[in-house]
Amino acid sequence: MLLNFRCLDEMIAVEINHKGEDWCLTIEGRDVPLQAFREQGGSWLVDTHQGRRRLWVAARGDQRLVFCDGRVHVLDLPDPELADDEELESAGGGLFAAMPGKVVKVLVEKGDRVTGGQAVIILESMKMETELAAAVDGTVAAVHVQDGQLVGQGDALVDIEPDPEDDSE
Amino acid sequence: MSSGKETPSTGSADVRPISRILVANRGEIAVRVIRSCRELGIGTVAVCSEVDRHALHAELADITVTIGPAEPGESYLRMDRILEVAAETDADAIHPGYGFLAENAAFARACAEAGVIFIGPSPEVIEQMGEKTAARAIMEKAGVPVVPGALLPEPDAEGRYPADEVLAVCEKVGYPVMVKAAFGGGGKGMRLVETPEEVVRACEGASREARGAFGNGTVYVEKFIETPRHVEFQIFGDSHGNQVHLFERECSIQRRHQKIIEETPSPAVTPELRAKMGQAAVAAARAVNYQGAGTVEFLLGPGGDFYFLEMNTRLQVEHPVTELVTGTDLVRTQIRVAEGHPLPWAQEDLSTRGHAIECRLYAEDPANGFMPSLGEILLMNEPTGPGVRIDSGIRQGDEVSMYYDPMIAKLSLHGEDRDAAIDRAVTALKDYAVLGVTTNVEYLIAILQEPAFAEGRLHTGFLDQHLPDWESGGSRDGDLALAVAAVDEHERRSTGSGSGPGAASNLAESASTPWRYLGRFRLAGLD
Repeated sequence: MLLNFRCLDEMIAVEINHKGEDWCLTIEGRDVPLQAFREQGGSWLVDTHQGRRRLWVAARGDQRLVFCDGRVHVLDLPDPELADDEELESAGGGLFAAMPGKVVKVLVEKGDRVTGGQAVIILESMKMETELAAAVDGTVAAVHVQDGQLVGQGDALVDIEPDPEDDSE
Repeated sequence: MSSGKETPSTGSADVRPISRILVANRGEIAVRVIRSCRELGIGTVAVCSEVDRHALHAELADITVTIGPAEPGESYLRMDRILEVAAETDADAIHPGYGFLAENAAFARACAEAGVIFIGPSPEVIEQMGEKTAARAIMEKAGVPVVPGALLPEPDAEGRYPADEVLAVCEKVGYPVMVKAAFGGGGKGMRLVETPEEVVRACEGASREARGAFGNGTVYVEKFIETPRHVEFQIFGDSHGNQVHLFERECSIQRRHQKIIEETPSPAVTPELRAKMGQAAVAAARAVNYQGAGTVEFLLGPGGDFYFLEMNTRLQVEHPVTELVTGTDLVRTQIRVAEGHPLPWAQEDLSTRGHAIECRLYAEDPANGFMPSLGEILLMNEPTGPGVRIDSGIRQGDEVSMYYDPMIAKLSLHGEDRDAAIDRAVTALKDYAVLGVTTNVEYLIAILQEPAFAEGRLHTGFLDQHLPDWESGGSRDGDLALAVAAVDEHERRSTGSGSGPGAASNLAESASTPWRYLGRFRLAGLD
């Protein structure tokens, strides 16, 4: 089985073969043997030079969340068939609600010029206010919400049309 | 007021047995109370909001009534609805937990008027202790030390202060002093003054600032306690005039006044200091004839000087550490005392064994301004083992919602001594897998592993001093995570399911094979 993970904008190909709990992973062309088996509770036990490690994995969409020694690692496993759509979406500078909450204040109007890092909207969740900033320089193409409105996770808030690429760098 | 030393009365005439308790709360504390009720054979009624219908507390209770929408103001804070439910379900007592209505004198009064026992102190005591200046005055009168402070004389028309009088006041309070706006907060109108030379100018500046910010330029001076610790005493009283303390908890590890790690005993409290502070705590309890569980909070200065901060008239979030070292059950005792029983212990019956630490797990992102992290808990593994206690109201598959406190659990550890308790805490946290929402588990481990923490050098500014710009080490050791993610994905696709509950048993038969991991590997680009 071949899997293409994305870690910090880098694609890493992992080829997986196994016999029982003897796994052979080929990561970026290198063979990596791994002794791992799954416990009844669903966690993985792996022996390393530092001793046995217990890891837990959960899937959320394209994300794989791995818990190891108190730390959470987030890996992307993009679905190749959807990759194109995703590319399109992430190319824009749109802002989405990361969690359900209430719009405290929209700081921009349609047609406003914004620069990357500029606060565009203030959201409140659990009595805490968060400022969301524009990711890119551009122009506000649409404002989908108004002050006081309740929003759900993933709701589009503000669309920003990014400035054309600057080739100077 | 009682001397508290006479033999506790056990006259059954005073006892009014409780047969059903309505728990006016949610989350872990509601679960905690329901458990004690079940142990006592007392029936339970849960109230819940619409989004909490399938929450753990709502499912554990004998009877559950949905009382309104998610917003606390429309559900958990609705006194009228809660009292209606109590009447409808024949509940003869209400346990308020902490937060919500726990320190609401009007609610305690309404319970009394409805003939329902409020499990807590009297409305009058809640009221007195809820008002800071009143509480301070009562404590001062009872001989409990309060932070020395005094109002300043009036400035003249130009805003100038009479230097001699100001200096005399500050001399009495003792340097360094903090000049504070009497009618304000948020750091405005505040000046730290180290020496007499600066004090008059500081008062004038603070007064100007206070007038601009709050429309009132009155300022007062208070002794400034440098790097104070937050040390609180658990107190307990009954309706027979008995009041005791159950030793201290140190809660100095806090951010924005939110406690994160609590422990007992405090590494700063010597037996002599404990006796002195305990005496002051009991004096505070006696001053108001306290009944039920409460907490007297003190600021503890580096020189062992301590000052009354406030009294919390409820069960405290961090009560498990006290239960662990004293071997008591505070909720059970709350219920017994509310029924009219005397306290099960006299002061000399109480002692502590070992050391206990509580870590509060929050669904929040410490690397990103402690933003709450909402959503479904996709996976949760609670650590187990000797000396490990978990109080939680949330399970795998549950949702962390925007409406309530994002605390997932309290992990409390009991060890032979402080080092053992810290080791146990770190080890348990490394097994406390929560996936789906971001948690502070890694941050908690970082705090516990700070050398200053191990040395017990704690103060309320500890986190700002030692972990100001903490970041997750999530990208280190990423190679192992990647390998296991790949192996897990392979299983997910070949068996139609990944890890997680019920998904894994198909591999378990090979579990007994001995094996060794053959070679350490690292991946480029992951560090």
